[in-house]
Amino acid sequence: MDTLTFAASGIRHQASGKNHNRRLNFALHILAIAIPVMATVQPAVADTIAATATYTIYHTSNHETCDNLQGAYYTYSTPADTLASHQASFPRYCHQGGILKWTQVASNFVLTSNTSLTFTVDVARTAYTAAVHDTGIVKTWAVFWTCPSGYTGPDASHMCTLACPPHASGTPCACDAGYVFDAAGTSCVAEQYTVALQNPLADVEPSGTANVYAATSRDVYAQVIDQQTSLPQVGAQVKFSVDVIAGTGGHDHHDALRPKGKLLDCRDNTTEVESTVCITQLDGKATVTFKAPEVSGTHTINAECISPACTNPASGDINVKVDGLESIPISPFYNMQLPNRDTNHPKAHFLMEAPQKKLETIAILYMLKTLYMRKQSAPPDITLNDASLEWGGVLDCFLTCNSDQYPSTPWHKHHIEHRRGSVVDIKANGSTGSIAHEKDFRTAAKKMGIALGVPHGSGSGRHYHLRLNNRGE
Amino acid sequence: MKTKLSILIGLLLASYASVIFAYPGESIVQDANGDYLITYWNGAKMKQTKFVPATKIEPTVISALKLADVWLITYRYTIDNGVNAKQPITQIMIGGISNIYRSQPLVPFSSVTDMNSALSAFQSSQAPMVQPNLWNGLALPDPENNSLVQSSWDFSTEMHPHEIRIGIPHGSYQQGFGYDSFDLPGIGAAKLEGDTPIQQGYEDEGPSSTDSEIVSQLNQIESNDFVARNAAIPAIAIPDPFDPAATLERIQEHMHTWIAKQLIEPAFAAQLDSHFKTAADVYRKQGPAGNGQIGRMLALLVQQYEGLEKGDEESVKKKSAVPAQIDKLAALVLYFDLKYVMRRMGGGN
Ligand SMILES: [Zn+2]
Ligand SMILES: [Zn+2]
Repeated sequence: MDTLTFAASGIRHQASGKNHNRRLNFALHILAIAIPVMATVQPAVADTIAATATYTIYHTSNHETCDNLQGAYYTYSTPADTLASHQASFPRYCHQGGILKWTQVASNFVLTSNTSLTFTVDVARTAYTAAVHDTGIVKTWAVFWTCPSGYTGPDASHMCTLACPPHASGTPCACDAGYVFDAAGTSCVAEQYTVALQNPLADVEPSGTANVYAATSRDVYAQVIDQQTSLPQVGAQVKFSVDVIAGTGGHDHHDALRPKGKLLDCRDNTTEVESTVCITQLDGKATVTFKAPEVSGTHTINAECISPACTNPASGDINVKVDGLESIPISPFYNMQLPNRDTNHPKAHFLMEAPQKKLETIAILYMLKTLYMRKQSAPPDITLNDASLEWGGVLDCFLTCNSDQYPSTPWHKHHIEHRRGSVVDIKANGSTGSIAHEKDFRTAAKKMGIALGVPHGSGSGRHYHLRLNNRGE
Repeated sequence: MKTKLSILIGLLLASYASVIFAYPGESIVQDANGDYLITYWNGAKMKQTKFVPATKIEPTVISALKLADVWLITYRYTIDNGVNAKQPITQIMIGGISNIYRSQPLVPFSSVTDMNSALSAFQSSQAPMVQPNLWNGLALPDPENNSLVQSSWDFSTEMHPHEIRIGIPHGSYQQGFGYDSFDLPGIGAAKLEGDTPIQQGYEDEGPSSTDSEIVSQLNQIESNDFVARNAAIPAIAIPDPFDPAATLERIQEHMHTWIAKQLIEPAFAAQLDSHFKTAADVYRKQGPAGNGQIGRMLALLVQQYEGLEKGDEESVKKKSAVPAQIDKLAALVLYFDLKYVMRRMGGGN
């Protein structure tokens, strides 16, 4: 029996030229942007094999010559190729040495599983009735399953799964942290957030008076919104910080030591800090408590997103001020030391309305009672010095009231009170314009219900410190 | 029974006789003269100053009431200063007055714009007042309640620098303080002050911390820088048109405020309550017949005090045989108020 040995060479495996540019269908994402949808699954595509092979048959039969093979035919088949018998004749050619070489160009085979191609060679020379049949399995091909672009796989079932776009993972696909599906729902884009500060920020009173007559702290919130969805963003980290604007609150001086408002650390809501990171709640709002300093003035509160990042930081102004202060009007019944000698605080003659009325009545009572009495100076002999700054708070006066006995520095409460527009100083130093009849002045003040203590200051600084609300504030 | 509003204040002051510590080293000590030595931290140094209170007086206020023509009531006061007083009394303030009679309209100080209007306001506040020579009387809105009136009199030592007698010196009295009112008397407080010297005061701004303990103590001392005494003051408005039952109910209501002030025994107040109710009922149903019930109430007062009919606290004496169930001034005021109703209903004399 002849033995035919087939040796295959030049077998090419390649992906077929079929169109792989399948349009990935993410249409569902358009409808439900926020919710990643199930990725499409589709079958993998098998290799198409262009089976071009050259086979060499080594004729080993002793009694056959090359010529004998002329006219012989062969068949080949594959398991999937049920037609099986593709017959072909050997070319009428015989290589010297008894070796027949033959090239078979077969049709492309689409293979659906690992398979083999079996050639059966029938050597049936016409001249010889006794046919010689040699068969043999000559090659097994591995089938390569491939998925379309944008799909992953195939899996064991030869199925392809729609691949997640960049910055996404999981099944179904979910965008990675910090990413959201774009409007088409086909890719993940970096999330965009905006942060906005509560607006307007209501005023708050300066702190520091022994009794709190009005709020000296205030909650301030910043809201983080997802720009893609316009929905509030929960769990965002917002960093708040605070600063004070120079030249505000009636202080025409500034330095780095100026007291500024504090924030309560969001971690314990107790510790006073200059900046703190707070977390947004379900409504997208992160809330921080602003605590007013003793010095009035406009403060700027800044809010910026730490995580995720926001497009822009937000800021807003909060006025630390005592509301309702009015400039003391000019009156025939008292003088005012104008302009104020302390150029750092050119306007320090502000009072609330009710205390101002009380002051004026005291001045009238005093003037009418003492009008015809001998005076050291022409009436009026009530001269108002400092009252309150236009926004109240600590009234410092280091330019004009510093002394060895009582050193005064910027922002320091040299005037301990004078913070809420109910306290005014009245000159009582014996100089022109100071109170000539102190007892009558005291009597008038007491008639108006003012609890008068002893004067303040010595020498040229001696004055009555009139608490028109009878309380230290 | 003799209760003074000053008891509360007295207790308050007594507590300052001991040393109060606040900031380390801060204290308020009352010395043998009754002056307060204030040691305080000014923020840089410890300092000391003295505050001379206006409470070194021993005042007695004697109220006198009189029903004049057209149901106008004159309120007059005599002020006595005890022999141990260290200061002459130079200011008397009586607040909480329901109304006083003004023969000319009130010009409020809030309407003042210039010197002329100020003079008008000042004069309209002086006009209703009766005062002794050298004293200045003023009727102003009560600073604690602007709908009420505060009457005050002060003696200006600066206006009268050469007077030998300043105010009401210790061991003397002064008559002639007063005003008139259509309102019936109740009991209110007179605040009296002694003459204090011009004081140097703090050589700085005083205690440096507004929340210091001595600051709140000082506030107490300064806002209570007077001695309080009870006085008969206009407190009960008369219904217009006159209605005896409604008037009685107002008197009764005012009387109830005396229980807390310990001016009347609760049991006696309860006894009077039943008379008040009966009298009001009879007035409503039978008009002047209610006077009989008032007469029984007057008799209960007369059992305890003599001289009530004179309307002058000076003339009222407790009857020794009977324990008093009502303060002397309260008895005088209640007697006056009940008699007034009786007279308006054609009774009494
Ligand atoms: Zn300043
Ligand atoms: Zn002052």
